[in-house]
Amino acid sequence: MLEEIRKAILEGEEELAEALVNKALEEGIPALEILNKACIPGVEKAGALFEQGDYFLPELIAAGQATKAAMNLLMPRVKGQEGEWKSIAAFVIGTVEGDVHDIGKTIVASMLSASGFDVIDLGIDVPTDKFLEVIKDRKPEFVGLSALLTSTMPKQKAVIEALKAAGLRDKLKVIVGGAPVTEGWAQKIGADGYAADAVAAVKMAKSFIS
Amino acid sequence: MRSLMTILSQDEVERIHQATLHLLESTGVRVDSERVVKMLVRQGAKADGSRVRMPREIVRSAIEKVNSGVILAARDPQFSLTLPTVDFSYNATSGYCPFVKDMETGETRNSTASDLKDYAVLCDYLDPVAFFWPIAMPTEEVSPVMEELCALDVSLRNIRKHVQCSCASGAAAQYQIQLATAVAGGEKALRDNPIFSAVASPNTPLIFEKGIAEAMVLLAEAGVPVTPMNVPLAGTTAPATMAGAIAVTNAEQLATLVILKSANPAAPMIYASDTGVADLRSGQVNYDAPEYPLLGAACAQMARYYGLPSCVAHGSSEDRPFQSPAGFERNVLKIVMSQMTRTDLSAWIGSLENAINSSLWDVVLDVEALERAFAYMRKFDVNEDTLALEVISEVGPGGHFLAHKHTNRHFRKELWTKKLEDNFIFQPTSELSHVDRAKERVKEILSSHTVAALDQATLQEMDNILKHARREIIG
Repeated sequence: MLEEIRKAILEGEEELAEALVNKALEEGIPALEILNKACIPGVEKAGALFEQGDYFLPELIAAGQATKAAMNLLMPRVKGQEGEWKSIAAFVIGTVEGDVHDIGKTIVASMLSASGFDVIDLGIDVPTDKFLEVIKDRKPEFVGLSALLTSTMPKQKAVIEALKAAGLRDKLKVIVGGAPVTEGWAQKIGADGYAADAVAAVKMAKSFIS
Repeated sequence: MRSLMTILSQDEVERIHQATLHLLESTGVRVDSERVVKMLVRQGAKADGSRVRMPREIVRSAIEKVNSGVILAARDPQFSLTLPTVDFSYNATSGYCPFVKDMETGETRNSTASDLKDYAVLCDYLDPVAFFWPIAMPTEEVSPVMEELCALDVSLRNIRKHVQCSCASGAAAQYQIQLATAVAGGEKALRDNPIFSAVASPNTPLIFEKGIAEAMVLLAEAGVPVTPMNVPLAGTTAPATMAGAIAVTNAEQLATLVILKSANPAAPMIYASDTGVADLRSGQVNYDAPEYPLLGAACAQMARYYGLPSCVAHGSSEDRPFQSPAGFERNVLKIVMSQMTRTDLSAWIGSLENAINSSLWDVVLDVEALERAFAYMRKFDVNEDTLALEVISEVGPGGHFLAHKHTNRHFRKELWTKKLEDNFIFQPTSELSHVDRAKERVKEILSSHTVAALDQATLQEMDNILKHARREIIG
């Protein structure tokens, strides 16, 4: 049964994963065991296949969605239990104010999510104050700032400055991205890193944790 | 006799057209401007907030109003283009790269208005560049409106050819029209001879942002041709199927046509698309994908079906520099494939790294490659003389044609007689690399070529428009 759930998650079969998890719970398999022996190995395998080039983004995202569906059933039952599952880290992400480009940021968010991060996606055209408010509230380990226009890149800097002013800058890592953004720009504005694509973003975030 | 690449059968074109009518009627598009939504409703569209559904009658009526031709006029009339084209595609630079490779250091840095000026002067000189996209953005400008306005200003001052310029807001449209009106010599002059056209693009899938929608209306009213270059990417912003990606492309093009024709029934439009595929390992656009020219061919076919001129944005491989003559020739063939789609326009020259970087010397290298590509695009006559039946009969089985007068009369015109080495890129005797030679050529051209200046009164008027815009926009 656990193997079937793992496989459903790896193959991105959301409805099947849900049905199997429900069945497993009915049969009395502990939620924590389903989580640790089926869900996590499934989504981790998907991530590994993606990294070695055998899996493509749509497959990775499907695996992430299947995991999420399974987790929604399992999490309420494992809360507070010994060995409770925790996400790798919380990651707030959004496209900066004045910029409505969505897809790149969404791909990064999906990839982070599929890699075990707790992603809080604020969407597009996100005012600096909104970033600050959510960061204060959720206390994430990371914030990712996307900008696709040279004219909105300065807003990445604005968020960093606002974090400094609020005394929050050293509480989290700032990762910037977007087509016109470069490593040099990231250094200039005092970001912790620049990620060229989703894979780079996940690698970078993981490297900061370990 | 000529090479022409098509991908859709006539039935498939018709089926995609029908599917598009269905999409516009049932799914519709999102239009973020209340004013434009109201205008569309007056034409018979059905609105639910910003979601606008277009019944097929109003789409058909817009198609009926398609102009029989489009003029892309130039500051200097000898460079004006009339579409549809007859023989070759007209090619332009790639556009709006925020970076440039520095001529002296070779390093990538932010581009400026001064870089844009160099590109304009260089392209004024180079014949195969038929029209101009402001290839380098004036990134020193702090607002998107000023960036677009300055891009047009610098271009109009420094190149005599048609300028096709990005325009993403009502404010940008308003000031760009003012600038072009000043250069053209009045509103009517601009309408009759639009010296600039605007790239105002839907945001795929199926979104017309407020600024874009309002810019489209202003441009249509002024008679400025609109080039709604959308960029559906199969797998991310469009279905992962070729037909699905073409359907999304076509829906956005026809929705633009409806908006333009609602604003002004005589508004000129160019069917423009950079439809491509996403690299599903990274999510990035993959300009080297084999599907890219095929999708270009499909767009050209859909455009021809509606009688609209077309524009794509592909040519050279992004993988440069070329290490060998064979590498250069392979790139020539890539350009050939793209030109064989027979779109009227294509904007790609000088583009690097998926169109975010550029260099002056790559413009020179691309132009050289383009001239070679034209060899494959030539038109050949099929007539009594070229069929040469009498000649074949005279020579008879087993003879040869080398000594025949017919051969001597035709071979220089009909057969390609240049060698691959007959270009400045590969000179075995030179110690310099082809990149260095291209850089030398850039320097030669920039130091010797001058572009006739606009008259003093016009320049003054342009200065005033810019000053006013700067005050209004930045304060």
